[in-house]
Amino acid sequence: MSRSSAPLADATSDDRNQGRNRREVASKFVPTPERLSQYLEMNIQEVASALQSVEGRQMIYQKLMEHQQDLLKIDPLFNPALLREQLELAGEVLHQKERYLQDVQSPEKKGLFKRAWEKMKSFGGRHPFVTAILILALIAGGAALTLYATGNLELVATRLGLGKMFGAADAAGEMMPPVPVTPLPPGAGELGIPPPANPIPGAGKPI
Amino acid sequence: MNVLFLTAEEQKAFEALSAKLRDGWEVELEHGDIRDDAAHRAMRLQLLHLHDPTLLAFVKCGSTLNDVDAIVALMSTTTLKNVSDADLAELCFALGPVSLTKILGMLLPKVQTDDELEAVQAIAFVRHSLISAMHPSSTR
Repeated sequence: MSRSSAPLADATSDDRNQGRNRREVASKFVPTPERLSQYLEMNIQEVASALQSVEGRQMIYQKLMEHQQDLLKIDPLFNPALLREQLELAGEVLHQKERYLQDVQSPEKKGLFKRAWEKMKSFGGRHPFVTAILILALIAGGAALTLYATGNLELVATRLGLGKMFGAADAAGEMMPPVPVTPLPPGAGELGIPPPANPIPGAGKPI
Repeated sequence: MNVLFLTAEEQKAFEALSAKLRDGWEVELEHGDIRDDAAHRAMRLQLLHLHDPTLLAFVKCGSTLNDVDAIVALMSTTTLKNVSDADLAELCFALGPVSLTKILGMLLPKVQTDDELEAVQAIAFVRHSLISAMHPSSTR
């Protein structure tokens, strides 16, 4: 019997305590710049910029609420209060990302970061950093949904030496939560925007 | 670049290394606020942009596998050797300071060579930048 077919035996203690051996990866509307750009027919940079201001988020919220019925068809769990929270969160994280990328690209630190990246690239397979990064890439790309849903993501991490990271306080799903599937807007439908060509969630031009 | 940004706990692990290994390093206290939560992690993942062909090929290959053994085999033979700096920076942001701290906690006590200590330094350096970006007031 393949280990992957026996997820219960390898589930986290939290899962065992709760008697669960499968999780659901919710499909919901997450207001990323890419999705908002597609839903609202706005330039992605405009959206990213709007998300970083109170007025911009309010404008996006109002525009989305004009299509509330359409959004409910796409995402039955769509919730205006949650949308506000998500917009705030998106704005905050975009600010953080901008500060971080400015630091990475700053003339005075560029060389230091270059050395850091080169060092990280020299790590061999099964290095905990490499494993964590690759798991993250799989999750971000939607490739790990089955593994996550069956509880086997922790098993992969543990087999690759990340047991300490995933064992005690944090389950893999908490440490690296699966990316909820944000439904595409109907192609040339209610919101009038064709779906994007890029299949990677969140993929697009860097902000 | 011989500065190591380490938390008080990590500094204890560093002090436990041999004097030869510690020689030449300047340790600075990482006093930034190292915290994170699921909502922020999930949003960072949503905002992750991967463009590197190597990573995209890896994800594409991984998406065809459902078996743990196969995924483990794929990941064991994959490195970051040809990954672009930009994608690596994006992934570190998505990973966040808490995950990097956990990785440092695993690596630091096992350091036996200068090369391994340089690896610790690289991760700690990126973590320091992340903390500054995420909680700017805590690092002032």
